[in-house]
Amino acid sequence: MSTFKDGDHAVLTCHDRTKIVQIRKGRPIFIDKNKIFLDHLIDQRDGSYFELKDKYLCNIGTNQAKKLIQTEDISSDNAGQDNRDLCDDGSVNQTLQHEEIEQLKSEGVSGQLIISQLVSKSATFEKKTAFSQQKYLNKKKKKYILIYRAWKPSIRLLCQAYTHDLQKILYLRRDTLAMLLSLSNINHGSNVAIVESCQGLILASVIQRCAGGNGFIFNLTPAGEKNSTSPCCDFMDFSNEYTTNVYTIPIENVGDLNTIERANQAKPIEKPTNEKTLQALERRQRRLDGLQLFEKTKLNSLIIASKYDSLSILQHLIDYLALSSHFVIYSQTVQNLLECYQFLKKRGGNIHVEIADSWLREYQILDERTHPFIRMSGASGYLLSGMIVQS
Amino acid sequence: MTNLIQEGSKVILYLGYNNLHVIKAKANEVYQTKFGALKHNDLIGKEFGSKIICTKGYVHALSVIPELWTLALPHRTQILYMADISLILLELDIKPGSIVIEAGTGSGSLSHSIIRSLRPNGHLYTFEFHELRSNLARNEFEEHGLSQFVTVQHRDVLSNGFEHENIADAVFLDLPAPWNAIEHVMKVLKKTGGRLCTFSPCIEQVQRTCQRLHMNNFEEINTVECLRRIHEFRYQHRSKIRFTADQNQEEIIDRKSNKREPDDDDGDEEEETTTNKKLKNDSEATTKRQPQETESTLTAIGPLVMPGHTGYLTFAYIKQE
Ligand SMILES: C[S@@+](CC[C@H](N)C(=O)[O-])C[C@H]1O[C@@H](n2cnc3c(N)ncnc32)[C@H](O)[C@@H]1O
Repeated sequence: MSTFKDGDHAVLTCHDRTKIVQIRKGRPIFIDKNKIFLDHLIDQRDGSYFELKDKYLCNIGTNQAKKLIQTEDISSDNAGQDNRDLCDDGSVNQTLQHEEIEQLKSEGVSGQLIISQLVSKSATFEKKTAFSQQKYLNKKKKKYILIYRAWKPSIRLLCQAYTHDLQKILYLRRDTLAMLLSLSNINHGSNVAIVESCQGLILASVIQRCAGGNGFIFNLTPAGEKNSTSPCCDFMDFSNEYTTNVYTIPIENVGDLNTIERANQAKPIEKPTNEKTLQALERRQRRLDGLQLFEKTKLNSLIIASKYDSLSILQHLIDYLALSSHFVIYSQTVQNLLECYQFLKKRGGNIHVEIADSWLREYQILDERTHPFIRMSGASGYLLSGMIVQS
Repeated sequence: MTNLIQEGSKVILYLGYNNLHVIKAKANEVYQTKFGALKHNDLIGKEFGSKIICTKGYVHALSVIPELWTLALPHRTQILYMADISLILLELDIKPGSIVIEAGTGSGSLSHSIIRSLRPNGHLYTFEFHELRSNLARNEFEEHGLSQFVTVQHRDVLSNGFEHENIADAVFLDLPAPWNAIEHVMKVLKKTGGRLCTFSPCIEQVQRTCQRLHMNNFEEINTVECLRRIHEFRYQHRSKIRFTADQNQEEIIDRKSNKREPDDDDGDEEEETTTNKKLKNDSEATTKRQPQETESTLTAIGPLVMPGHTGYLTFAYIKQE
């Protein structure tokens, strides 16, 4: 089964927080400015639980972990009936001081003990209704009981990790990403071109769906940008088999046959001396190979989710699409897509052109207390999709 | 898979938006469309995506891909649509190599998308207790060249379970009482961890499912609802009100500048005045052109009426060792 190895990435979850990390022996990561070593994750299984002990995440049994993080469901015996006796004058409720808590923490006192101290030193706890006692305890648990769970990365978990950092991925919500992948009809063997500014999240999804098929995956990026604008691909720890057919090429040079010509002529004559220049040369050669290959390939799918102007990208790339191929463009605003739509209508040779957005609502399901969550995302962005046909 | 239409190929004819027909290419046959007769012989040998001329128009010939199939398939049951389907695939982590269990097969709408995402080395086991539906689905997978990725079984999963044990990465249930299948689900899911999704139209069903999931130590339980809005394209024409106040203002300006003009005989300022005059003439021209005062912009508008509910999706995870 899947276990973690040195160098692997893992997704750590703790309550409702999600963090992507890389496991490296003897090298710490930082969570809330605290140094944490992940050495003990090595050889552990997907979904294992870990407790923070003296700067190390240490494996703990599933049952023990579950007991610790179990949310409270208190019987109402020791509880007040309603809020009539509860007054919050802001000061005297809690007599355990912040400094004292920090002191306890540094002495290695367990989270449970801190919570029971907080309860016993709370002037109002007894008077709260059962429901608010429960709420209070769950809130404290979130703060003081730090049980982590380590997962093998998946596209779902990457989406989860970015939910609090949506600006980094152009606010692409998971349901919109899911829809985008369906509409682009990516599958084993597809030739795909991707122009994205979403940290490589879309590229990673495509690589996974193509699963090392015979098709080519072209990641078109502006040349000026740093090489590694696709951290998500690193997070997924893809095998070589999956990435041999992935080419990152400078989008500006697409369609410019002279570039390749010129580049080939400008080949340096002297042999490279050190490792670094050798690698740089290899990367350069790979880009050129990719460009050359791109000119010869008929694409089955084109995906655009870029911070650059979508219309000009579409105009430049549309002729590379094969008959009955698919295109999908994501944009946070509908205006950009309307421009693309007008261009497509004028050009012809495309059908089933749609603009759509989606709505995702999460629910709390509890006995007698079922309702939608109070907060939801109100912006999913829009997708323009369609197919290329003979005109 | 070849990209050419052959004798026996399933073809989706695209007649227009939301107007799709499914046919099987057979030499010498003729199919009647609203654009007149379509000769099957005109299809055979053509590339998918080609324009096919009929007697009174044309259609496009497309291959069976999951999105189009979901729109064109013969309905034998209620089916799932792309918004739910896509989210299910993502949340169940279905990827090449996945082993997936589905019940019931229904019309096979979801199955086609699952198969696309688990190819080339995964497998779908799909169960249906209605024998005819089960057979029809099997035939369709065969016709679509998908047989090697799917096993269709005629079976009541509530009474008889999923036959296998400890093999599945993910289970999907779309049947009236999914909570009664939970024990079977636990058996078929990989002990090292697996995911479950249930689809139910009613909140009471969700409530019972969640209760049962908690009782059986499922984790990461969450319920969502997802709707997709397809927008309509429309040119919006907006006429402008001509405010008399604005007109008066313009007239006053006009009069003022007209008055000043004769005084302007100072040579030094000549150049400046001519440019001014030009500007003024330009602005006059625009005010005179104004009577047509409507603006047209292309807009996208949400549908006036749309499906407001499909069902609730409940996801959960369980690790049993
Ligand atoms: C709504 S349909 C599923 C539609 C399917 N998800 C689709 O997208 O096409 C539900 C199916 O479950 C089948 N079903 C209901 N109870 C079942 C059971 N206990 N075992 C097997 N199949 C069952 C029904 O016959 C029906 O065809």
